[in-house]
Amino acid sequence: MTVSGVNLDLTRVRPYGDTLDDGWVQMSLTLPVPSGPEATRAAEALCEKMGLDDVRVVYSRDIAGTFTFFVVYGKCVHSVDFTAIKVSKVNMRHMTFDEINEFIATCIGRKIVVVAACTGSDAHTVGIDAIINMKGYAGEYGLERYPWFVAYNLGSQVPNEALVAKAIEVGADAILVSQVVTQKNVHIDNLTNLAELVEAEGIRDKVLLIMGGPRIDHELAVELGYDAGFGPGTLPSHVGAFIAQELARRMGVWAPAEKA
Amino acid sequence: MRGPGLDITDIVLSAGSSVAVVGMAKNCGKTVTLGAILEGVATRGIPVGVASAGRDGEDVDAVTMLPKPPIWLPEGALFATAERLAAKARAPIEPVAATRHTSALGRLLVYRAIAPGKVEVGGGNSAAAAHDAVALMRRLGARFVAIDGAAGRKFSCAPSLVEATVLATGAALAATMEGVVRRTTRAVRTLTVPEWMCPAGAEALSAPLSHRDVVFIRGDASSRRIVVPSVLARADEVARALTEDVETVLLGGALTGGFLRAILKRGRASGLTVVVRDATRILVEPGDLDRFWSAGGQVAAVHPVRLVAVTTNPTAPDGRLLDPAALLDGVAHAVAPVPAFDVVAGIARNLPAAGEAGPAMPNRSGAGGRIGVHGAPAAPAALAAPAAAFDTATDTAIVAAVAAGAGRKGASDHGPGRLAVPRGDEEPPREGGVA
Repeated sequence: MTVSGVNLDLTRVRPYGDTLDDGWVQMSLTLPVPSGPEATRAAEALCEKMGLDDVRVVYSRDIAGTFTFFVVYGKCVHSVDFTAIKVSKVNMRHMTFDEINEFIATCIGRKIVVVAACTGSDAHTVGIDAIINMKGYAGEYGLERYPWFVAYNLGSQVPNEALVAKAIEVGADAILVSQVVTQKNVHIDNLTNLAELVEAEGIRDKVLLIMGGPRIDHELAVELGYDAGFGPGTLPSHVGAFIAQELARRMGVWAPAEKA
Repeated sequence: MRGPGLDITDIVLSAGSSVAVVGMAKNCGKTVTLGAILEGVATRGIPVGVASAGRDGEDVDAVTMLPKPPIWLPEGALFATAERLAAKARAPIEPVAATRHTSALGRLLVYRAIAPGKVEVGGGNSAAAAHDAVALMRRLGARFVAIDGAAGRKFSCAPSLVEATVLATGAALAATMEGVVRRTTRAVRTLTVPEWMCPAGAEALSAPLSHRDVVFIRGDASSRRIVVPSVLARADEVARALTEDVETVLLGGALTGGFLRAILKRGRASGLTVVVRDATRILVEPGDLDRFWSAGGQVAAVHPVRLVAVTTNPTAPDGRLLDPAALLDGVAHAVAPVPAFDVVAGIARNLPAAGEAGPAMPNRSGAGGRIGVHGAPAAPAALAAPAAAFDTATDTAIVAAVAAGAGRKGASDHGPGRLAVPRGDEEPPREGGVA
């Protein structure tokens, strides 16, 4: 592959700083030590251990007298084989707001019911609100605005019991769970418990179980027994298209195009 | 692995021809435990099938990004995995049949290992998918089937799926050995709640138990059934219906903390037995369960989980290492008489004496399907009738069985005094060729 007239070896990809393949990166970090020459040297030493050459601390600032914040430049000595990278994606065709609604009207013939929540101790609704709420996110409407979706956003800190109870009450086609707080991997326990509850209540085959959040992907979804896992950058139409297409596929009224 | 005594494979085979390996959490050693069992089964020349309730054998953990052990299969082994995971196999494999299930990683297919090698197994993301995969591999010739658990999920040990369960625990669970032992003990107590014996003469069930049903059984063995959308939403309402003469309440769906708290609030725990289909339906925080037990309540299951072994992993993903023998001792003492193994260190505790008919189970009174082991390398006799745990009884059949035999001693293939409650949500598995 050629980039800007230079041959790029995709099996040995390194960061781009000023010129192709120079390896320069900028990063920031905080160390729990007082600001000073020792702190700067410590930050450099740590970055060298991380695989950076030619490390330069270009900015540092004291935080509360006991911590120091740094911005660092350095040359990354490592490379990755881009040709060997494989990422799990759901097999779905991207559709717009209008296409999704038309698809549901044509293939499913009734409104799709979705319940969504931030579960457990998680109060960070920014992700689930972006997908569900009327006003949407990044120029796209949320599922509440879709005439062919009925969306219930239960909000934050919803116990798994309440989420599953609501899904049963309204006969949900899909359960969307958002997990933003992932300290000590608390999201794994929460997500595991929800999947077990859905199974124990006998509705696993009746709903699409979908997770979302900054540390969520389809690999984790499969590992925990979910149907899909949407990560950062997901738009409402991604989730809407997946739900519509997967539901239609399960109803036997639609089949995805074969992938190469 | 095979020393002079029994190994984990002997213990598993003595319980039947299927096992689920479930973990207390991620990184507790499920895959290594599964590997030890599969190696033992292969050594005995038994055709094996492997399914996963989540995903296993991958190179790198999806959460911690740490390397993970692979699943190694012998030549001829069957395994159920998603299409895109099959593409990563480092052994020559061929697709054999397809299930009706799909995950984010493609369709769930059954493959055969043409030569021994390492594979990734995953994509069976529901009890129905695991059930269908197991049934399909049985028909294709697997005489022993193992299901690898998913992270900390336990649904795969439902008696509707497997005859035996092995629980993997380890240092990943808690910072200290005492913490690991305490949490493991709690999980074992929950997993092995006693089998419920339907009182003689009780007309407990005149129709199959659906997930929406709640049955109240009074002291005089009479019963009343109500249907609720979900006990999750109606915990207080259901608890209010627990009149003084009700001794047992049978739940078709999940048992959660909300229901137990509602019972405790009304002071109705003492003398009350809450019965679930099987222990995978118990989804209660330890504190709620402890309070219920302390208040004199009991929990029982229509179909008990048969926990045949616990394995310990002394290493945590963050690099902590507990003393292997001390951890095994601590766990073994707490879960006795269930055998405990550290399959990497090759040490075991609580092994039944040679000649005993398998491990003594605290929750099971003389169930069938147990055979002598004696460390015999030949395929055990139990393998001759592998289908017992895989009944695909429809609700209609269950109605007939219940009508004829509820409470009757020694009736039906469900054993003496056991109720014919559908074990799971099974329906006759469908399958198709590989397109």
